[in-house]
Amino acid sequence: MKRVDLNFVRPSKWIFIWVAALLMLAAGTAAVGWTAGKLGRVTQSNDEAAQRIIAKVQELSSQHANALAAANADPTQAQFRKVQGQLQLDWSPVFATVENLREPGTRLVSLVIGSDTQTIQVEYEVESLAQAARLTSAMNAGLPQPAWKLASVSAVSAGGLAASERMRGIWRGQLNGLR
Amino acid sequence: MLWARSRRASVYLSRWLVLVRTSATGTVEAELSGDASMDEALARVSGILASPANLTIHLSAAFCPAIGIEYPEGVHRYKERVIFSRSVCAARLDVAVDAIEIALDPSTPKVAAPVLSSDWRSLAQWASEDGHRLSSVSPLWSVASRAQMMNRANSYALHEPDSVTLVGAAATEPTHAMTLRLNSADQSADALNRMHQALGLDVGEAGPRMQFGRASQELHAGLPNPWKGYWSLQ
Repeated sequence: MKRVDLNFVRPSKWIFIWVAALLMLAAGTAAVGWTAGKLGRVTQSNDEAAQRIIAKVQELSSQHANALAAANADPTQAQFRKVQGQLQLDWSPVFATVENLREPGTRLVSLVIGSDTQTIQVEYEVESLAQAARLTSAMNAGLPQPAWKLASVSAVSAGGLAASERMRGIWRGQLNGLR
Repeated sequence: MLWARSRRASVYLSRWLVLVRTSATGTVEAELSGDASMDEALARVSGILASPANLTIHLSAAFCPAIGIEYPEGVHRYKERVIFSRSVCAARLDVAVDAIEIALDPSTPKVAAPVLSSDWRSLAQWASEDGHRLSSVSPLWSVASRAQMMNRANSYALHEPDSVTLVGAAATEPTHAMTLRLNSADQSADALNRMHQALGLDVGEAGPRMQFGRASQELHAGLPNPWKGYWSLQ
């Protein structure tokens, strides 16, 4: 026989409200927990990826530093870099200065370029000290600061006659000053 | 008053006997003089139960009889069945429809339990004044139906100090029910026979006959759990 369940006391509506509230609270807690767990997993995954990337960067940096140290230690490489640097220098202002000089009676004797120190030495044969001074002015014409300096003047014996004695002047300058 | 609400007590109310059970005092019996009213029974409970508690109240069939309901065709909705069974119960008790409260189990709607509205109001007011909370109020014969031995039975009889109740089932669903109030315990057997005849039940195939109300030393397996020790088989 079926049991007969009777009760004159009806369950209070507060019971349903409390049950609903508890269910909502449980659902909310579960949702927060699930989200937190998911976020935790994502964060952990991101952390691991970041760690992998950092380790890879450090490894590459180390390899680069080692390669650089090895390259610096190699004299051939050092010489190569030095030559490469010299080849990259623009010596055009020097040649332009020499080519543009129009001083009659002068003659270019030598042009020495010091690629290491980027210094230039020009030797001209001139007829007089006054002409040497004019030549200095001509060489420095158009430059913001005088770059060429007359370093020395010396006499050159020609045919043993004092009247026909010529002079040689040496001018020195820095490549940076010609730009 | 949370401490009071956490205290539980069970109360059995009949017209001749009151039982109060708490974990602190055990079961206390109080006999009533004659055919007591609900107010008199509750007054005895107040004398036993000093502090507020959550109450589980079981009413004897004299306060809350079992009445079988036969519904006309087409009455299937629960609300309709409540209205119909209320009118049937009022007619059986010979009171106005609004003079009773009714309890009806949707899964076993052919057995209804009415209680007089005046008794119900007395109970609610008494609980309110003494600070008790009514956790549940049900007839003892419905408690008897939950006994393990009822699983295979087609009917059962419950002898209480003030009444005899007979419940019979067609197939597994309780369909017949009747309660007779007793003026004395001697009428019990005779009343049961008359009820069997009235309900058309075969006395020879009658189910368990349970007796409630006197502390019994003989413990039978399958009797209801509430009020253990106060049930016996005839």
